[in-house]
Amino acid sequence: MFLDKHFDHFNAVRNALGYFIAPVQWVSSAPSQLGNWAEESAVSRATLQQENDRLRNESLILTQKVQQMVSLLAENNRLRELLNASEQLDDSVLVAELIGVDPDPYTHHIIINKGQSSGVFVGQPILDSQGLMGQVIEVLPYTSRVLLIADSNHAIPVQVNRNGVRAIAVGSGKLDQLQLIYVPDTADIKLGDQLVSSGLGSRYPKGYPVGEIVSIEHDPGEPFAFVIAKPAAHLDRSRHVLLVFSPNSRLPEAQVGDVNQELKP
Amino acid sequence: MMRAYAVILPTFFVAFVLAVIPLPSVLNYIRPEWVAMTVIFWLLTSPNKAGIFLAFAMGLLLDVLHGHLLGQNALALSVLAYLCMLLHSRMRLYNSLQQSLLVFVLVGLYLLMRFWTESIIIGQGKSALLWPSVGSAFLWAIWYNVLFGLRQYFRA
Repeated sequence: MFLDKHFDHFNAVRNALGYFIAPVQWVSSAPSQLGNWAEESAVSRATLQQENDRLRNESLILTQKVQQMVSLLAENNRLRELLNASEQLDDSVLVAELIGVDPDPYTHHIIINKGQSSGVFVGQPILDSQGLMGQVIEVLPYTSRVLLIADSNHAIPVQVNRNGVRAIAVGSGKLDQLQLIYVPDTADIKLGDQLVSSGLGSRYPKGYPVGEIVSIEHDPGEPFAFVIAKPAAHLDRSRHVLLVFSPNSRLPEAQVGDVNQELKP
Repeated sequence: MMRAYAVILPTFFVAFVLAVIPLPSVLNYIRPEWVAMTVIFWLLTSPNKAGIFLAFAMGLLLDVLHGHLLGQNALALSVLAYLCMLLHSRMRLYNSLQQSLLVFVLVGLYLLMRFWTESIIIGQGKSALLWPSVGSAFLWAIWYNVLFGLRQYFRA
């Protein structure tokens, strides 16, 4: 056990055992998958049509936004060129599905259905449609384990979107709370400020939403302000998550080929 | 022997699934230690077929399943299996209430072993001790009867 913690020779053993464990994880996620399937196949035609309409509208709006995005991105890159800064590249993502939640009530881990065979690597950031969810901490052949940002063992460097004030958001152990530590009493942070990942620490890509400030307390007896944020991602609800392959994050050499086949723009 | 393992291994598979199946968050706190209970059962009823090695192997799989350090559950389950080997002849004579109490103690010891290794190596033990043991003791009689029925049916 000591060896397992300090060296990674046992990863091979873990990987081999992972093949035996994969069916257990599939079976344990089967009931909820079945429920989802039943729900999906039992909806009425009217509901489907409604949803279809809604999605078509949403897609229209999003396409319009993307049009703007393209020109803005080009402009942004031109301006960055003028400043001699490096060009920003788009991140590519891979969609994965949540198949399990860690049974231990004191940790916040989730299991997703993509593993080494899809090119997932340890430290890879995970998003949902609303914001950052966490990072991969263990990769098995067909599944991997994700540490959520709300776990009490997790911290992420963030900055306030409004003015760029930097801070560190530490998980509180509650799924709807992050705590900002070492924030001076005089820092310009207000209620409702959006937090985005700052990209410092080079683990998470820059600029993804992390949360929103919901409470600030200034206690004269304490050296730092007590700031609570609410995670932007739906940590307890999202079924589909996105694995981010940032251009500057490291990829395992051997798997670059298969990864590119599965990537979606 | 092969016939016995054809029954023992599927029961462990079910125990693994039960160990990670999603539950409402309140029930999560008293989730019984299914794998430990299954180890106790097989050590109790067929100590000549199931032994410490089986417990060790199942512990390794449980480590990978839970994402714990490799060997943590394996060590704790091996100790549990050893205790069961010492106790099995006495434990068979007990009625189900006494057995449940003993399972409470055994599962508690198993969790304590895990807690110790966690606190020595990680520096912070995070396994809950009391409530999972209570859950295991509550469900022991049912699980025992289910497994015993299977064992009789397949004559394992």
